[in-house]
Amino acid sequence: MNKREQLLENCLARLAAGERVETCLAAYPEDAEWLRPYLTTIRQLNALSPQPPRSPADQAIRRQLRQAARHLATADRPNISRPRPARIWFFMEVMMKNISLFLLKWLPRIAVSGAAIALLIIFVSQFATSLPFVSRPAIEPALTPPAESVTTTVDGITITLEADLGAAPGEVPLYQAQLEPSPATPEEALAWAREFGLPDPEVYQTKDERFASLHVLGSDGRQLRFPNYDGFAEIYYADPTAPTTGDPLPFAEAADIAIAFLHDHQALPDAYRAEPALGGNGSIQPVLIHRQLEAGTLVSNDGPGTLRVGVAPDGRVAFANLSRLKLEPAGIVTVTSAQAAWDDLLDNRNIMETTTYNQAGAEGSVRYYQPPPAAWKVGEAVDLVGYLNVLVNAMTGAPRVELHGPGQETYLLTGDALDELAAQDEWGSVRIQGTITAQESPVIWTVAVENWETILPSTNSCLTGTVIRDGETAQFRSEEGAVYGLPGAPEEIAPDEAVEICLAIPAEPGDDLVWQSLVTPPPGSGLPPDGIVTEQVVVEKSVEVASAPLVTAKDTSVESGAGVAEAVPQPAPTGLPAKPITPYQIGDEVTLTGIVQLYRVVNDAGEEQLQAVFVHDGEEADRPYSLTYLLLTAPELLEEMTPYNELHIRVYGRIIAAPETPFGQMFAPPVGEQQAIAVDRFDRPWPDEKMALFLGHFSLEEIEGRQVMVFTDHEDGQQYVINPPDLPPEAYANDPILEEEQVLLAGIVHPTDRFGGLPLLSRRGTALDNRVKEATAVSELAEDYTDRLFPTIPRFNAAQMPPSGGLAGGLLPDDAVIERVELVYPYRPQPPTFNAANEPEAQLLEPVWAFYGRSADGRTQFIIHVRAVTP
Amino acid sequence: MSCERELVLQAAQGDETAILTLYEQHKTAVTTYIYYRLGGDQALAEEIAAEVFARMVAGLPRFVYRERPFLAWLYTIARNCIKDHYRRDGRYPNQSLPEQHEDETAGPEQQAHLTLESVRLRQALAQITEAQRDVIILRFIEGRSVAETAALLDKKEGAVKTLTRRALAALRRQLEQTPEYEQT
Repeated sequence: MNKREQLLENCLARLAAGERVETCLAAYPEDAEWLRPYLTTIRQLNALSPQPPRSPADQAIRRQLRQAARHLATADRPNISRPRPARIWFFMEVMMKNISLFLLKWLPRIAVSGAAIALLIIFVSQFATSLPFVSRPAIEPALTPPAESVTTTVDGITITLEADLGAAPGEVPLYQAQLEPSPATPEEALAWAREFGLPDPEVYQTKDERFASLHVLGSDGRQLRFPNYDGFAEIYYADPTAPTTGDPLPFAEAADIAIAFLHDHQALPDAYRAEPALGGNGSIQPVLIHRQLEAGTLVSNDGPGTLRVGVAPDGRVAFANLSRLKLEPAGIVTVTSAQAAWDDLLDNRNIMETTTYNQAGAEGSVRYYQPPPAAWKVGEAVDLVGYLNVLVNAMTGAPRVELHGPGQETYLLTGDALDELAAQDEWGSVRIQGTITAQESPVIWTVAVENWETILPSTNSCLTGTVIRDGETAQFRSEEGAVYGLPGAPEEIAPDEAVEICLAIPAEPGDDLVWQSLVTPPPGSGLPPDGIVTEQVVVEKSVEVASAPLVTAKDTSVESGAGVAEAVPQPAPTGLPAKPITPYQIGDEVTLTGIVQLYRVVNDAGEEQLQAVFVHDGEEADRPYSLTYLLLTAPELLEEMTPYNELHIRVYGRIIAAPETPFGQMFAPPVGEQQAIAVDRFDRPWPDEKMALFLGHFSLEEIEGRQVMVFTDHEDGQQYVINPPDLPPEAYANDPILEEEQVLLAGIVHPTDRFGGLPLLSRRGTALDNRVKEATAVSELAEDYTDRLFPTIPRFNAAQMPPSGGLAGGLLPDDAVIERVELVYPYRPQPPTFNAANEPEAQLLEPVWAFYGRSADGRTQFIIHVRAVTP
Repeated sequence: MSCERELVLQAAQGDETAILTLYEQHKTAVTTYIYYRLGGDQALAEEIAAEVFARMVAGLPRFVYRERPFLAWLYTIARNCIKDHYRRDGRYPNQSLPEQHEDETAGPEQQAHLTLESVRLRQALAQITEAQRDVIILRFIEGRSVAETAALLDKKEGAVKTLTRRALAALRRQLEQTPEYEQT
């Protein structure tokens, strides 16, 4: 490079740093004459701007690339070798168990409060559903050319349709779906183990009959699990020795492995489509295999409708759900055209369900972390906290006691204390001190137990603050200024970045935190949650859409086209009487007594506002429902209500129309009945009413010809009828809390109402761990349990509240692109009923139109189900 | 670079997300490159960019990653597409006034001058050699460093600096030969 080039580069660097042309020239006066035209030209060039493709061209290229990707994904590739033997996690079943526990804890309260929550939001990040769209079909679906895009604006949402809507109305088959039975005896389970080549298999049974399962454990660590309770009859395969770290395999490679695995074990449907799972992240690549039916695709959040296989970075199958559905023809039904469904969607009609997924880890999104995998050494002393899972060897009766948590680890417990631990209630947490004696797999360790104790569960113990770093060491500073050690702090967390950390055990300032999850930014800070959100929308008041069939076939014989069935719409039984309609007109002056429930809502500006819902006691004829109203009044008056949260107050005011706020939509009665109370003043009709703790047990009793739930106080023998007393028998009959010998209950005794001569007691919180079981008086527990069981005023972020009304319930992004439309048959596993003997029920699969799409920025994916069979 | 390698490998498997990510990462660079190589025809630049990315997907299964930026391969495809366009069309693209990217803070008179200056520059760019044009586009319009430009053009950094000076000199000569538009 000669001198002139060097000078030019010097000036280029100075111009790039912001210097003016004249300044640079002044620095080199002898060369200014020849430099000037160069620098002037460069300045002119700098004024030329980059030229990205304009929006229409950008969209067109994207469409073209998506189609090209599908061709590429389905192109022939060399056969892959058979995957090596693999093994597990049983996290899916554990998740189901956790969900069951969650429902068990909250279902009674939901029933009691009777709040008119019109929307059911289910976060199902582990139960991911399918999403667009990398397919690997065994049968090649016709690739329709992308339609000319059509952009429409509805309810403030811009929707661009890029999919073909060519499908006309037509007759399609109906199917009755029944879960294939899973092995129920040790012999049947062993036959499966032989088929999967598990060496030296041993069969175990769960100790808890409410979650009855058979487990087959191979000596190489691989496992098969057969839950067989409460309508579940499923089959899980797992390989806990598969690596859980490292970059996930590309989807296409993982799909090849998953397909080969299912094929080898006779679990691959004759016709299928492979898709990536929504929310798939981490090291395990999840692959969903959807069964293709004659006229559409069988889909399910998880389980029998859709096979799910997780492939580890080394190509082993880490887990698989092999549960199968048996389908029987159930007639023929006429479906609307895709165009009609699209029109319905735009008109906000017949939308049955919307599922959205916000991409985790994207810029501006929420990030979740779990503690890093433990790296113990054999012989190392450990101090562990978790919950117990007790299995019993089906042949020898010997116990196998596992400690789970707080991360992904499982610890097999050994030692003299094993029998004591095996006798423990699995619902509580325990703390184990002992020594690592072996590592069975990357996530399974054997521990010789030296000391153990039951401890308080701490599922609600979360702290908000920031991470502080000092070299290799990380600490956590809470909002209150307390500082804790933070072992295993994620390196990606920047100093002073706000986080919420949830603890496995409570901690004192200065302690090292034993944490089970860390999220940034903390919930409530305004960003939408990552993961999957499913909203099931009640399309019409008379029809239960979420899980019940909408059509039945008069004639199920469809052989040779003879006896074609006619499908007739049939409202599903709800099990509960119709909800009463508010007796008031707008403008009515009212004085009403009911329970006040308070909420703190953080608005978009970060301001916190107190909001109140009023559950009117109502008339006896209204039961088991109570009418729910928003309370609108001055903030100061709402603040005055805070000591009486969940207790009765008497409000004086008038009926007004409920405002259209997310909060109002969440709690207001169904559309057409939305009313609120403008409150002038309030008082307490029963000043002595209060929340209290009770130690006792539940039982079912027949009182006044009705089966009711009764709570017997162990300290004074007083019996209470659980409020409300007049729910249908099935609401209480299968509640597993009935089997507990002693629980701690937080509740409120109704000041006046009685049933069968007994006072009514409303449940507000329950603890049923080992410490509770052993207590003899409330006073032994009050100090530690009061704060945990007494309801606090919850805090919501307005932006995160379940929206209602508007297109697809308002879950869609503002700028949505529909990329694919197809007919699907959703299978929805039945919800838990807590009845271990409950048999799987047959389900009529109703075809619906599925609109698959994404936000314009690609961060959100969604599926909207629109009814294809109209009553 | 290893991230890009993973992305390219996934894209080669037909991973739609990976393919769209590659497009997002490189669409502006590719379209800008074509736009200025063609003398400033936005519609044609978009049309050829679409062809570039289509060829990208078609070629991915055969693409061998050799630690050169993926964009360098896209530029190669773009150059081939432009040549094909000339062969097919038999003419140079028109050089109409740009439809957008005007300085909205300028007044009408200044706006017109800026627009005409830009046309003049683009016309001058069309008259210099391909190698000179490439280095001008990459360094002064896309704002890339010497090292990036060297990697994308598969040249040594010293060669890029030499080429830069020659390209600027050539461009200057072209500008001097192109009559300035009179300001009104």
